[in-house]
Amino acid sequence: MSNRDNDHRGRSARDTELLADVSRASDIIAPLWPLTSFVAVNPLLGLQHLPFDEATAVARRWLRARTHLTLAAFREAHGRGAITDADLRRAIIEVDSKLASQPSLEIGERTVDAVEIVLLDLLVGPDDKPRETAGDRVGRTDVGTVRTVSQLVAAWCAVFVDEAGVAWPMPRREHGFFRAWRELAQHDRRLRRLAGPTGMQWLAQLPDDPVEALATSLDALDVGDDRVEALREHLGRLPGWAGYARWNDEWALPNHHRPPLHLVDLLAAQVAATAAAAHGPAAPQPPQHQDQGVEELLEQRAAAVLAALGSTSEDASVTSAVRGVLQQVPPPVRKSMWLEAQEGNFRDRLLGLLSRPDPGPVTERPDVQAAFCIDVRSEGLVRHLQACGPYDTFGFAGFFGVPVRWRPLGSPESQPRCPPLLTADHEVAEQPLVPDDALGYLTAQRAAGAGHEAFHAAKGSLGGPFALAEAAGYLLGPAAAARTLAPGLLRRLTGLRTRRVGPPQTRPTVEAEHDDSSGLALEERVSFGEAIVRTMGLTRFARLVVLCGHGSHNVNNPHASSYDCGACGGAPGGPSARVAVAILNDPGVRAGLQERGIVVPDDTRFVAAQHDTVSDEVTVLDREAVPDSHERLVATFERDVAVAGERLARERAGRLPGAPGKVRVRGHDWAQVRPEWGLAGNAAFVVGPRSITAELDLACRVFLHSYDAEGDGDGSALETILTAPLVVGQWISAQYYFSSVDPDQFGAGDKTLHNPVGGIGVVLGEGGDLQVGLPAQAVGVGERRMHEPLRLFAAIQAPLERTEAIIQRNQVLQELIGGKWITVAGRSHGGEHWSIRSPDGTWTTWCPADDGVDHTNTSLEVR
Amino acid sequence: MTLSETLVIVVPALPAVAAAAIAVARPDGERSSRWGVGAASVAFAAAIVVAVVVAVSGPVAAVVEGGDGDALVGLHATRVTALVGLLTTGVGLVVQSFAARNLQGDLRERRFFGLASLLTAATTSVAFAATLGLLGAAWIVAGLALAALVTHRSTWRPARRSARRTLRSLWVGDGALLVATLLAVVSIGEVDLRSPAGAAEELANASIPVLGGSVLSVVAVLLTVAGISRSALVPVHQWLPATIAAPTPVSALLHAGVVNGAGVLLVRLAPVFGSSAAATHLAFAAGAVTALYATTVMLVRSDVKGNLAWSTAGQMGFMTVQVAIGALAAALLHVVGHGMYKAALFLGAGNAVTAHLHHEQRPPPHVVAQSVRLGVALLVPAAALWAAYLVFHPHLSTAARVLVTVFAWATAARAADGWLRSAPFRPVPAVATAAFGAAAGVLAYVGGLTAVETFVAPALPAEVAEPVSAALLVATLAAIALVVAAVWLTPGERMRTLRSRVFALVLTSAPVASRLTTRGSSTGVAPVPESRSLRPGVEPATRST
Repeated sequence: MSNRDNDHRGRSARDTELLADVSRASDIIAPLWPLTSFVAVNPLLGLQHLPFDEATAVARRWLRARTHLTLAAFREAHGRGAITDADLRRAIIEVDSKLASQPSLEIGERTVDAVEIVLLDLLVGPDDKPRETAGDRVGRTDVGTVRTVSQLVAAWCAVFVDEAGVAWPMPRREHGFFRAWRELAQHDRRLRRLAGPTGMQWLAQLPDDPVEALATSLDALDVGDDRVEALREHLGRLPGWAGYARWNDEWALPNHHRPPLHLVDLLAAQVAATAAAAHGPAAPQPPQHQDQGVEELLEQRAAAVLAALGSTSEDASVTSAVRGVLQQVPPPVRKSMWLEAQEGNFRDRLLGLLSRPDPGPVTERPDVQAAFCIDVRSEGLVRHLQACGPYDTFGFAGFFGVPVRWRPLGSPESQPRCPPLLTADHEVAEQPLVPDDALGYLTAQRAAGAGHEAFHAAKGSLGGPFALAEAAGYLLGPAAAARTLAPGLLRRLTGLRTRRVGPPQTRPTVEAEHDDSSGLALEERVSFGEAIVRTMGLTRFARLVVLCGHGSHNVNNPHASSYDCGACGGAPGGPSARVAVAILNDPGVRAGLQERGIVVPDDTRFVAAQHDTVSDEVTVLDREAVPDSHERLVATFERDVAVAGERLARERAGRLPGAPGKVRVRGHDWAQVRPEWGLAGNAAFVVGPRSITAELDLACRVFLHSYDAEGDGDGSALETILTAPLVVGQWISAQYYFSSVDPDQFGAGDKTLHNPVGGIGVVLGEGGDLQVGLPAQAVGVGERRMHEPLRLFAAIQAPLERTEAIIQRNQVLQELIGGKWITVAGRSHGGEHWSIRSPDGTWTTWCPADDGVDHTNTSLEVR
Repeated sequence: MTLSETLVIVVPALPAVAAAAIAVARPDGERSSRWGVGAASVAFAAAIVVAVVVAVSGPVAAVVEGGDGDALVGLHATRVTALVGLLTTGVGLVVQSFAARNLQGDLRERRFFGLASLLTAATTSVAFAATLGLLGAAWIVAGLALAALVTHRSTWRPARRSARRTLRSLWVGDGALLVATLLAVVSIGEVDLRSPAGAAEELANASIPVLGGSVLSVVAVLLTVAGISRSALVPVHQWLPATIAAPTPVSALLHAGVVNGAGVLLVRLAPVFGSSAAATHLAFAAGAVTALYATTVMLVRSDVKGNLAWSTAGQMGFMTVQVAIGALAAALLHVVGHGMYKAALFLGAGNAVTAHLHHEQRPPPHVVAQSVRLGVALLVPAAALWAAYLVFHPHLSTAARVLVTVFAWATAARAADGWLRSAPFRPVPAVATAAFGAAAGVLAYVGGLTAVETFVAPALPAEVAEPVSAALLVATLAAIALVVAAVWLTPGERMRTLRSRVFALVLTSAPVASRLTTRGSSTGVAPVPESRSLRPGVEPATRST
């Protein structure tokens, strides 16, 4: 809340208390980044201090969301074999160990224990209906009113946040959302209809200050001790706009020249509108609780279990005994059991694969080392690359340890290129090698901008659009037809254009400059260099070290940046790789590193590359800067990585719908809603040397972070990995999990209904709440789920005591691992058995649920 | 039957066959898309051949004639209808091809392609119908198919509500067209659209049974009402913005095809429509009000699709004004041009975020002095228009000339101003490019208008009998300009409040959203009902026992 702190100084105790309540209420809202730089985030980020089961219960209550798959979906996975009865039995006991020790029942001629009864209930028992809260009250009014006024307020949010330059901007928006809204809402016909003249008069006399207005409005609604609940009721109706406001309050860079939408402004407007509507003529709806009777459901569940057992007995004591067992397993617990079972199944498969004997690292000096982002998509590329030759590879967060703000050639603005948990203090600008070379490119850029302005000036006026449509239609129409009917042609044309008027040769200026704030001083560069080398665990250097970032080229897609590198703040990773390379190739830096005990051989050359995850083509960046001495090595790498990319593209084509031959065209096809699968399928995070995963097919489902326990005596590198990349991995995993279990509430809904708003996000159809999360098309096809919603599983090869100590001393890890957001397995070295860490901190040796399966020869493909 | 007559039938019939085949055979989504796209491709190719044949050797008709030589039913291609046919089949092809990837895996993919084929067949039939009866039938089918497409995502409440609203609004026009057709048929027998002028004459001589009075003007007014409803003009405009609740391809189909109803209907029946002053003035009033109002709403919308939808309503208003003043060729140019324009913008709506990001990263522009900028923007388009009239000699009535002059000038001036505001070059080359671009644009526009006018001249009446006069047009434009300028430019608190009020009024003008509950599933994947497991015993759990 740093941006707002100054605001709060000098407020009365009453206001401070209210702001504390606002802050508490907003726990149910996660920050929402603008789509220009999509950042995957756990939609329950604010509730992460609670255990998973409690946090999801809060979310179900206030966000009216599903937090687990339906029983039908779980059962379907069971039918496919993705969950077995053995998994379920183990999960039942894991969730509720009391069940294992309960006496068996005699039903008919059979003896059935409690676990078996619960198992049957999981398999055949009826699901509970989602709770309807239509009749609930908020102070003097009901939740229906809150829902309606929230929709009205949402329309104002859309015009307030506009960045894309709407022709007629919202009047007075520089005064802040609440003030501008209150003045304009006087003329909001829809609000007037709800609130009537009395309500509108009441609204007009509200104080100008949002905090005071919020307090007054809550009082007018007779909200007393349940203030947090009333606020949550409002926030839960607009989680998207509220999330965007939270981002503005807590994460946005202060120098942004957008009018910030503050959470307290939004809440003040919502609650004031509710209070105004409570004055209105519309009578509040009568309470209509539709809660399905718990008793009734229990009755049905018991009947289903008995019927499945083939019992026809009318014996009341049997029925009540079954009910007694089932009573211990309320509906949400059943889903926890299913989820636990599904995760257990995946865990068994992955640990089975990871239990193959570790071949150990190659001892001689490799020709080429290549570092890739930990992104799950890198796993496929690395796997195919290593099949082409003896490459020594590493997994590392795709910003390569240099948190900078990147200013592209000619751009007046720079963007942070690092995980959101870090702040980028340094700006690095892209400069042309030969200044004159850039003139043509810059002029072309300006001309494109002027064309954009000319078009929008004519379109955004009262008299201009008519002849414009007539004239421009004859150009745009055929172009649209060509893009639709021959998307491959566009790909070729783009390539042609880039070759002719593409950007000139440039370099990142990492050296600090005198005239402007861009660049880093030498000591800083040396420190960054040291951090890169140490965290990556580079103890020896090949002649060629490739740092390969990744980005995704796809068009006509508001969520395009969600396919880019998350570690680079939702942007392509190429620039970060270039910056890291520029630092590490700098002779001054090398000298500085030597002083710090890191000897980089003189014949070692770092080279940057970028992996396009749509086409799986890898481009070596700043190719012209490669010296002749390394030309052969780079050329060989290029050849091998091209083969690897082709194989990976073919592999991925099998998972994507549509013609497999066209998988590389998808990024240029403007009709395509699934350019690639992104990180769908991600389920685990492996920390350890690459040698333990080297010969495995992990089906692009695993984050791979290199870690060498021997070279990290004090555990500081492991601590960095567990508190930064693992946490970001968990955000991504949770984003996919929740977008997959409830694509409407936690996901962005159907992509073909998306309506981009203000250049920052999308709404569905005509308007309403800003959409959060990933589109339905990013996690599935129709009814088929491509992302198996699992919580993140981390397998860490490091001394268990070290891992445990790090977990113990970091609160974020205690919350995430202790709260079951992440399950951790560990082993001290390659020769040891894996152990699973239970939430309370005890480690038990892993044993698969079903011993009869050969877990070392299994597939990780989403089943 | 000659080859060209067969082709005239193939154009609308093939998509209709595809629709029927998809409905009957119920292929999977993938195959449905192939059938839909295949039929649309052939139909489009046939439409091209028909257009060429018509251009070279005159109208082609495939009709069944009654005893008096009047058409009973059939299709008829002239230079006008062939042009519209090219648009409807072309858009049908492009949009279905787009949807084949865009809706891939969608649970209602088959339904989309069936209905899209039906819609293409219906709009093409509206263009080619040789009789008012067939036109009316195709018109109603198009409306129903559209409403069904709007409810594509029927698990999502806004989609269902929008479809209901569409149906209700369209029925106003459908009813009017139905009554007009019945009235005409009862009075003079089937109306043969091969010679609408002849039909107008017959209608003028017929009088309404029982009530008396000329059938002609009643039919003309009813046709206007039909156009107003189909083209989303005030007061029946609300349904159009609500249709954003449909997937992108549906919007593209709608905004490039169906919504042009008023233009196609009134141009084809120009002799009937244009001989009633009441009809032309009604159309003019609805068109002018809509153009002003909907365009104002468009200016405040920050959402891409809302912006486009309100823009369409405004454009339809403008098109109707064109028809009302008798600028029929200009209206045709608008129907086709705007159709392609809007389809392209809808299909590319997803680009908005990336475009915004790229725009922010462009190098800062050069600066051109304000006086120079305004001078170029105001004068160059005016001079270019003057030159264009000298070069091309378009045959325009006074009113049409006023309309073309004012709006071509406004567009070129705004565009030149926008270019110079973010000048990509130093002032001199920036001004030169702006001037060149504005002049070239104006010349191309007037030249294109003249070309279209010359092309369709044989198939259109040179003028209509009772158009809205140039004087009324000028007065209207002047009044609008004065009011807008006064509200916009007057300083002071009262005018500021008035502007805020107008802003709020137009932003909150979509009443649909007032009861907006966005419940329901937008993805179509509702949780599977668990009814099976509610009946214990039906699904025995033998696996675990």
